[in-house]
Formats: sequence, structure tokens, C-alpha cells
Amino acid sequence: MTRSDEGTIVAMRDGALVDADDRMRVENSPAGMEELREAGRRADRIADTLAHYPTPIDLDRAKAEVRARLDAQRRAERPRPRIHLTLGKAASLVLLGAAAASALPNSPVRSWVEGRLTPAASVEVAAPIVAAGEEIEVPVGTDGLVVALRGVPEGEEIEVLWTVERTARISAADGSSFTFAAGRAEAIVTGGPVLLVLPQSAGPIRVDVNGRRVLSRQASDVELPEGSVEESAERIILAVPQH
Amino acid sequence: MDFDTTFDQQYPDLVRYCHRLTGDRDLAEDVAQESLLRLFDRGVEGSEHGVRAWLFKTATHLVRDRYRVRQNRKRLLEVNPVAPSGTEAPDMSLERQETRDRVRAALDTLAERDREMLLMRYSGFSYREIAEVIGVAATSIGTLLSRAEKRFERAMTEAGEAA
Repeated sequence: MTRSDEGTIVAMRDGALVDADDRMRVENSPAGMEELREAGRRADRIADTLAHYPTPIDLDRAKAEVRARLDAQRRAERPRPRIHLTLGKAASLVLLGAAAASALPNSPVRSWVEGRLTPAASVEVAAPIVAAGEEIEVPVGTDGLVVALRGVPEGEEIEVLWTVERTARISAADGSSFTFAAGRAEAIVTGGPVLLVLPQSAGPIRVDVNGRRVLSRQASDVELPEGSVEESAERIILAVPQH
Repeated sequence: MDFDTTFDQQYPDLVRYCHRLTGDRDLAEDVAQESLLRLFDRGVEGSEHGVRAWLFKTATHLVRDRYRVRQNRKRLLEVNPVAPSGTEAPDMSLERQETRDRVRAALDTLAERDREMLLMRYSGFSYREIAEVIGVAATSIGTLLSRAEKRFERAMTEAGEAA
């Protein structure tokens, strides 16, 4: 079962949009159909488990508190125009407003935006981050990130997802070890599947596997010197090259 | 938008989601109420599901901000304890409390985004809506969710063995 099948199966279970070829591949495979049934059973188990996390709710008290705060706010402020927007439009307006305000010289928004955009990796790292297990998450700043994976079995697939966050995650089999310092994350991998969640808008990104460069990204330019199994704007699946 | 109807429809699920996300009931109530306050104050309108998505997104962002502050405060209190903290639900049976503690421990093993993703999925949101909140492509959610679910179940088993 490849990583993409794993995602397809869960997406099929949840009624999400699935590529027709991927769906057919699962439906034509007895193992895939069994995985799909197991994914359904797992969803039932998790829903049942979460139901055992009770939250006592005092609806009347909460409602009274919010109503009182709302009344106090409305007394203190002038009424505002009502908004009826989709989330996408609302988000666009917020971004446009922030961009316009931040363009003004001496704008407090500009300094706020600059403060918010200060790359996490510009913070001095006193000591390397060391982790053992199956995952590490590291900050990525404007200097970018080098990911070096070692011990990845030949032919193993590496899935790369792009995120808007300014952190990167490296995930591999349990028992893998990870270190991170000065913009370089290294992992000694005990096995797959290997998942890299990498920022799409931070500094340059480079991924080396078993000493060979397999991916580099500068702004929106992505290079895959060893090719890929699958590539889209959102996801890349790489096969580990032969030694 | 009718205040009572919207509140009755949205608040219970919202506070439940925030509670599972943080393990802190006071914080969950605070965030759920703040989200609803912003909804009414800003006059946000839309379908019931659209309003629900807006509220969960707002609450998730509030939790990210406030949870970190609380965690820092908690760490400080652990170093310099002021007073013992009370149990969250003293009337809860020991068995139920143990189960809840196992669920909490398992949720806490997940990365923040995995926890948000798992809990949003089990609150009935679509991959597109989850993707918008956690900041990845909707087509990536299946893979990430599958891993988060397996990790959660493994953590539940381990928490059971440790108990």
C-alpha cells in the first residue's frame, strides 16, 4: 500500500473528492477494499473513543455571559455594517486591507506585519534540536532549509506536501532519529513511509536523500534532479534513487 | 441571525471541540464564547454550516494563541506551584475519568495541526474546510488524516497499557 493509496482510502471513506484512477485502483484490489473497510471501522472506533471525553455544558450561563458582553460592546461602539461574505472573500478583503495599510510609511500595520513575518528560524538556536521517534517539526526562515535523509530504503516513496506554514515536518517510521540546527534538518530513517511537509513560501528548500539531491525549491521553481513518481502543485511523490 | 437559535445550534459542539483540543474546560468555554461574541459583533451571516465553519476556524486560531500562553503559564506554575489544581469533574466516576485521561493523553501526543485536523474531521467538516484551517492542500488531508488517526489509536493503546 503506497502513501497515495493510504490517503485515497481515507478520502474515499469520507466521501471526499478522489481521482478516478486512484479510486479504481483501490476498488479493483481486494487488499485495498479491506483497507477501506478497516478505515471505516477505525473511524467508528475513534468517534466512539472521543465520545468518552465529556464536556459539561451550561448553555444558559454561557448565553447570558455572551449576551451581556455583546450588549456592553454595542453600547460602547457605533453599529457597524453587516457583512455577508463567503470565507474566501472575507479572507481576501482582510489580506487586501492589511497589504494596503502596510504599504503606508510609518504605518503601525507595517511594523505589525513585519513583526509577524519575522521568520521563526531567525531566532538564535542555542543547541540543536534532537528527537527520536517518528516525527520532527522545525522552523523555517528566509535562509531556507536543507533536509538530509539517510538510511531510506531504495525504492521507498517519499511524499512531499507544501504548506503555507513556516515550519517543516519530517515524518518517518518509528525509531528514526532527527536533528536540527542552523537551517539543516537531518534524519536517519529506519523505514518508510516518509512524509515531508515543507513550507512553500519560506527561503530556499533542498532535500537530499542518501547523499543525493532529489528536490530543490527556490521561490516557486521546483527542481527534481532524480525525477518524480507524481507531481502536482500541492504534492510530489519521489522514489528513492538507487545507490 | 437569531441570537438564541444560533447560540443553541453552535455553542455545544464548539465548546466540545475546544475542550478536546486543549483539555482545559475554562479555556474552551472562554474561546467558544469569544468566537460567538465576534460572530454577533461583526454581523457575520451565512448558512448554518457556513457559520459553523467560521466559528470553528476562529476558535482554532484563538486556541492556538491562548493555549500557548496557558501552557507557558502552566510550566511556570509547575516550577513554582501556587496551589493544587482541583479536578475538572469531581462527580465523574473513576472509570470514566480514567478513560477521559487516556483520551486526553492520546490527543496530547498528536502535533497541534494533527489534533486540529482529527477533531475537525470528527466534528463533521469537509477536507476543504479542514485544509483552510490547518493550511495544507485539501488533496493532502486524506494522507495526513490517516496518519493522525493511526497515531491516535496507537497512543490510546499505549495509554491503556501504561494505566
